[in-house]
Amino acid sequence: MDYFLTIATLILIFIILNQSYNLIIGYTGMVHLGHVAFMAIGAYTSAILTTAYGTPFWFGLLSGVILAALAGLLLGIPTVRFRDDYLVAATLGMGEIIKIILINERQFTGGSTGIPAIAPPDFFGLVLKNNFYLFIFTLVITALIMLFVWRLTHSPFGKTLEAVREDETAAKSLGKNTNLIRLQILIIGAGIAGLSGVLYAHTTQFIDPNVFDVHRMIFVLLQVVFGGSGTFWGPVVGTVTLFTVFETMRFLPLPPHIMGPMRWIIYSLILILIIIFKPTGIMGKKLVRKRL
Amino acid sequence: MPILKIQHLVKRFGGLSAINHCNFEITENSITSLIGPNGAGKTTMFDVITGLSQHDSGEIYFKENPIGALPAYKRCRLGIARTHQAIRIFPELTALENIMLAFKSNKESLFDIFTPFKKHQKKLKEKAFEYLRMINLHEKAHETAISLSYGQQKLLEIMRAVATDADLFLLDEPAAGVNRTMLHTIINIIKRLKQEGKTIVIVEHDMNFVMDLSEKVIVMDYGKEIAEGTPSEIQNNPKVLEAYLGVKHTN
Amino acid sequence: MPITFCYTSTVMDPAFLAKFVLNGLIAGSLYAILALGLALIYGVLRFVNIAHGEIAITGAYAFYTFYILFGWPLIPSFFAAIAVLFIIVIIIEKCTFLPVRDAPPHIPLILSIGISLLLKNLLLLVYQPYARSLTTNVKSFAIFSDIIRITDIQIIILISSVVLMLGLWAFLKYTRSGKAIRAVSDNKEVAAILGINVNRTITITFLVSAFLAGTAGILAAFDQNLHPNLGTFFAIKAFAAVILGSIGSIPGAVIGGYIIGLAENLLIAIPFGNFYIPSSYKDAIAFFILLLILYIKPTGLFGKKAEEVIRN
Repeated sequence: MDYFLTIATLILIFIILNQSYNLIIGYTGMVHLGHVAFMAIGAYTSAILTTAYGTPFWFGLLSGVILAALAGLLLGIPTVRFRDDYLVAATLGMGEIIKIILINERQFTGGSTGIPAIAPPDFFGLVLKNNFYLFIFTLVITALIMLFVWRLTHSPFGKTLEAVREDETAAKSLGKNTNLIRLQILIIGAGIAGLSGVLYAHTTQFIDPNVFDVHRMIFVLLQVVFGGSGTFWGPVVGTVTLFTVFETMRFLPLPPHIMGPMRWIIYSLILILIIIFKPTGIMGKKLVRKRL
Repeated sequence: MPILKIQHLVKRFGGLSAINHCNFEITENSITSLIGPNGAGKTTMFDVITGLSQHDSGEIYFKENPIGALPAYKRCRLGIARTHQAIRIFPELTALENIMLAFKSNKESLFDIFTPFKKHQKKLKEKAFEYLRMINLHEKAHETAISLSYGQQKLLEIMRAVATDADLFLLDEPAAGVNRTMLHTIINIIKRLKQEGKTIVIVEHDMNFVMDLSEKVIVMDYGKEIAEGTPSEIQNNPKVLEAYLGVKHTN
Repeated sequence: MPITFCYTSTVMDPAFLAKFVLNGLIAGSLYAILALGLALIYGVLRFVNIAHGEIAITGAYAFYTFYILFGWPLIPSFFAAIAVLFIIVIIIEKCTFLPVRDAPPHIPLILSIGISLLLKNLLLLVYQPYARSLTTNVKSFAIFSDIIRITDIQIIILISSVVLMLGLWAFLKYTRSGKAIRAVSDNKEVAAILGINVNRTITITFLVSAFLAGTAGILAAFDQNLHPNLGTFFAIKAFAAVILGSIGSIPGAVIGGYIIGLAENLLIAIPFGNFYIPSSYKDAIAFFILLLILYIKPTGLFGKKAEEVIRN
């Protein structure tokens, strides 16, 4: 039971992460590969603040979100104007670079051994020690984030996001400040990713640089694209299905050096097939090939 | 008073000058046509006026203010709307949403999501329906734009430009590829805009359309204006015939 | 070559400096060849191929299989490896990139992410996550002083990269296929109207790009070691080189490659006051140069107009 609760909590955390990625790649149409790095910034900020400096959880959470959003701003300023290639080229390195920094700045990050014994979330003395309370807490936060995303995507601002994705030139001709819109969404997405990182750190109570590697990033991309990028429920469906498959594969009787690569081979094949045959994902609309 | 003034405008692509020291003025509340052979620089002129591409030298004045340094979205907010030669609608959005995106009072900034917008949206929806009714698309308001026919998409794009409530409309080949009924609708829209005090500039190859509708015609060739005048003056201008028939080009 | 010595002097010994310049040129040669392949594909298809680094090490592993595991001689192993790589690339191109040719640009981009993950994990599955070495007897020669040593492999890298660049230049300038590649890069529609077989040209571009990448991979494997994770780092550096030298520009890719190679070897060697950039950050330098370039001159050194690279 405890195991399932932990898995369920993790799924919720990744729903938050994937929903924020969906805002960027699905609704606004920007491909970037630095999302897990934002998550890492959130996780490490809060973990370092609460373990080394003994700050309360809420302060760690707030700092994690703000620093991640700031990273989104710094990444966005030079890249939002340009074609996706720039953002991808700039962010492919981001994941590896964050990892190098995490491994090398041992005095803060614990190097490759990571940070153990991170306290579970607490609010003014109320410690969420029990896995059940932790699950409920995460569920509430997930619901709030989902509500926020729903509100955002169903607002006029959400429609301009889609307009920017559909036709940049036309959006500009209609007076939309497309660069600002993309920057805003990158900051929001990064902030929410930072939040999911904070939750992850305090739920698993242990983080190391390997949690935030390139594989994790592509897994996020796959979950969103598989479920249906640019749809509200797509990332949820994608996360639940693929995460469950991921966890079930642990029980297959295969040695780890075969299990590890096999899992990613299957996932990369799913990604390739879905992109070729139904790029809108399983929850997405019928495929309409856009003219060039 | 000219609403738009083009002064010594130059736009180069590599070594090629698409616009080469072009000068002209557009009078307020007029219908002007911009004609010329293929590759004369008409669409490039629209791109440069709206800021979709940046000119190399010269200046553009809109309502007597230089706008050459402004990004495209600011020029739209000043009151310049356009349609494109190849239709540019938002294919996955509905016809209604396409129109609503054009409204200036759309409450569409990020921070507006924290304020109530439902009621306001409802009012705007009504307004958008009105616009769709003018082009007989109100029954298809909730269909995605990509599912509309070519002519309907074209009308939708024109209506979307109208919905921005701009003062200057740049229409790039509005008559190309539409049937007669739709052409009639388009002509009515343009006449109505004129009545409302708007200024319209049209790039068009259909000469009947141009000569019937416009008060002034500007002829461009090799990125430069070579003649301007009333439709009848233009029809009798030897320079224009030269440009169109490809007889020896003189500067 | 790992840097095994440490010194605290704030004065730069010219011999050390020369050593780092040499290392930079060697790394730069490899990055330049990688970046060339990336720039070629960008030219015809307008997307950066994320899988480029993995294609390079796939070539290197194919070579490792023939050369070490099968014990073939050097030259046949090389050609066999390139042949295998060509088959793999043709399968990838025909099965994945061809069906999405008319799709919006982010589709091939995401596709190449999937392919890079696939190739990397196939290599991990088949060859295990261990570092492999291609050679044990390395001859090294001293130049001027004993500190500046260069191995035979490194000499080969320096020379063959120049040969490859000249070869590519001649190929693009004088051969029919090369001219077709340039025409398609310039304007696909016009090229098609002129009777150029666009699909065939794109396949050829993929093959030329794979040849360059595979060769770079093999050379790198001789100089350092071979590991399935190397591909990502190759890709990061090739991206930095390509964007530094203006995306799509062929000479830009070469210069960009050399600048990245020199920068990451020199920046860890020069003292900034009493501070040295730790050598563990060597791989991060390319990324920071990339970010810097995006901030100060996003169109790259070989200045394309901003209009060609902004979204529209």
